Amino acid sequence: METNKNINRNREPLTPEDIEQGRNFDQFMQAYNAQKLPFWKKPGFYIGSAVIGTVIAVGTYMAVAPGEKPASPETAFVKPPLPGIDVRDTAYTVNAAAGDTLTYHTGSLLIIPQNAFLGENGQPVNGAVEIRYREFHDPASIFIAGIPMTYDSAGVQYHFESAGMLEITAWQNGKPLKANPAQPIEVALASQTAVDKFNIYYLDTTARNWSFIKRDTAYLIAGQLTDTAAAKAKTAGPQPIRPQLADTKRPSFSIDFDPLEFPELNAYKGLRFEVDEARTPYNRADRKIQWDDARIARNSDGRTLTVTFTKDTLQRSYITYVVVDNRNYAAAMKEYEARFAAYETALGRKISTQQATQQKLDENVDRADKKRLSANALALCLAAIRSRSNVGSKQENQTMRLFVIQDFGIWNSDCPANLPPAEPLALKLIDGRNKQEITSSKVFLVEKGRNAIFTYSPAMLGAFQCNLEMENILWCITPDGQLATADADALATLKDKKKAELTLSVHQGVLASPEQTKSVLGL
Amino acid sequence: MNLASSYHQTRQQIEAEAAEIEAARGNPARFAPLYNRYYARILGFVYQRTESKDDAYDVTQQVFITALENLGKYKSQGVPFSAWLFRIALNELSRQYRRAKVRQAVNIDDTQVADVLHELGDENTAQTDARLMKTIARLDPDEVSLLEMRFFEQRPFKEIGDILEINEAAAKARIYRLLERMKTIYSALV
Repeated sequence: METNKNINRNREPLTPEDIEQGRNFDQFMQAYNAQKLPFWKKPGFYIGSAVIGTVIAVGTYMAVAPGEKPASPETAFVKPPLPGIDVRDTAYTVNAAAGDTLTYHTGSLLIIPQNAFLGENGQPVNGAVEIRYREFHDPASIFIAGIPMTYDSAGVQYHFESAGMLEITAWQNGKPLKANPAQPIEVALASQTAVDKFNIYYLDTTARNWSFIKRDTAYLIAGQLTDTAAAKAKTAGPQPIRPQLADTKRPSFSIDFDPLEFPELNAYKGLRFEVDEARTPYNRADRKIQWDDARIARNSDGRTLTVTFTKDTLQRSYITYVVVDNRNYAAAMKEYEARFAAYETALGRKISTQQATQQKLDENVDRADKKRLSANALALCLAAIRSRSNVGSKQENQTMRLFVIQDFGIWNSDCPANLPPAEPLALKLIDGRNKQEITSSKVFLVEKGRNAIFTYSPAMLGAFQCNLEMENILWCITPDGQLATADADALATLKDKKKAELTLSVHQGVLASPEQTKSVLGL
Repeated sequence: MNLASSYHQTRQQIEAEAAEIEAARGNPARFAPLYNRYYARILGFVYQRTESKDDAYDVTQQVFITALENLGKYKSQGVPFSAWLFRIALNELSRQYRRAKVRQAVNIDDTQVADVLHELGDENTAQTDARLMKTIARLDPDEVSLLEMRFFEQRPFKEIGDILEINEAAAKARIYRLLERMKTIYSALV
């Protein structure tokens, strides 16, 4: 499925005039002054609680850029805590009247029936519709996206453990569309949790709480796909490269390579890389360059390798044959033939294992409770599982969970959980930079390996519970907007205490990406 | 179109730039040398990824506003200021794509097509050209970004790593995985 982007060919580059047209520091400073951070958002500013309400009201008004619509309830309730960092989504364009089937990079499948979108007038829309979709499979992603993970059920607060979450929205001409309940989109979410204890919830941003939808919508289609991983472990690996007899009239070179990546090359004595000059003319001046890096890649023809040399911004690639001289050719061919025979055997075993795995998948799906799935949904999940099996998904996810999208927004396969079982203690968080107490509106606790986030308000820290048998990570955002964390070793110091101070490490500097944030969190 | 420029800076250049950054922290008006030095590179970087010049001007302005607002948090740590700006630009572009305010574009010329086909181990013909376009159309935004930085803009691994805040080896690994994925898609399009 093609994602939503234009591909332009041979577009005229920017001219010096184009650049100078935009480069105007005075205008830039005017724009900067017009939208620079309001004073209460600047680091170090602190105000008493008596005026917070007023400030929030004014801040909401002033934070709206000219010409931009005010923040929707969704953005207010789901707000990434780190400015400028969010979980990226993928945009797809579909024909509303025709529907489509989309595959997300995790292996999830989105089945869009005909007329799945309603316009402002409640009627199905025609033409191109843009679908924006993203998934959340770990605590760090959920935190980065600012998705609340507490659930109020009849006045009791629970903390969610997720088996996979998704956000889907649809747009036409910049306007949001509604889901057509008569023609719902179905999503088979590739979940990394193979436990059947979860419910489906929809995030109701108006009520500011999760809505329980039903228990069985997220149906565990195939419980044991571990054979897929086993099949991957028995992969045949790349086809060995056949050596050729060196032609002394052609240019060749030798370079160091990783013997683990190219074991057959390591076995060929006197190996050289002979340039295919018909495809990549050899530049003899390259011999004099002291290259920083040489990279070898197998080509799809199975016979040649591309060697790419790099020095600073200079890069040169040559398509090469693996050659040995006459003296070593017979031994090299013998080595190649032995390796090729082993490759063919492994390939046959792999195909056989995949077929057995596929048969098992089919049997598992057949055993599924078909009464609880529409025919379309069952076919959808089966197709998704087959698709993942065929492409050899890199992920260890085991199950597909089915969501029937009645409204656009955030959907979650969740299990409400209580705080970790432990004796409560009164906890005070200390800023490692200045040894002052940290006051943060939310403190997050995660047990590594468990996809749950326990969210503590300042008041709840008076009875903090943390299962110290687990490897825990705790973090919060400091008043000056920095990420402060405590790792398992720091949390282990709380053992057997009724009252404790926990010193947090504060990340210094700008966090610029979800990946970096996850790294700082240690997740 | 090759947007790459010299990434390496001498120690003197880094120190001089650090002094400019420090001055701009105290007085935003002194951000001018940094703005003027990097404007063309950021504009080119953004224009490569957008459909129109107007979008590129708007996004570029926002990149520098974000940079100036966050200058107090910038720490050199051996990473050139340009990498930090490119990182902000990628984040800003991602934000604008999500908000559907800016349409993502991939701009590629015939030479680059030949180079990428070469990486994929194939010759440049009308058929392989069309297959490559379909392959690129199927890549995720992050993958397109890697493709652009490495193969269209010819950035060294070190710079890609600095922009993405990963080490050089990890940048190489990502490019390697990208090529493997492209080969998979490309092969399936036969």
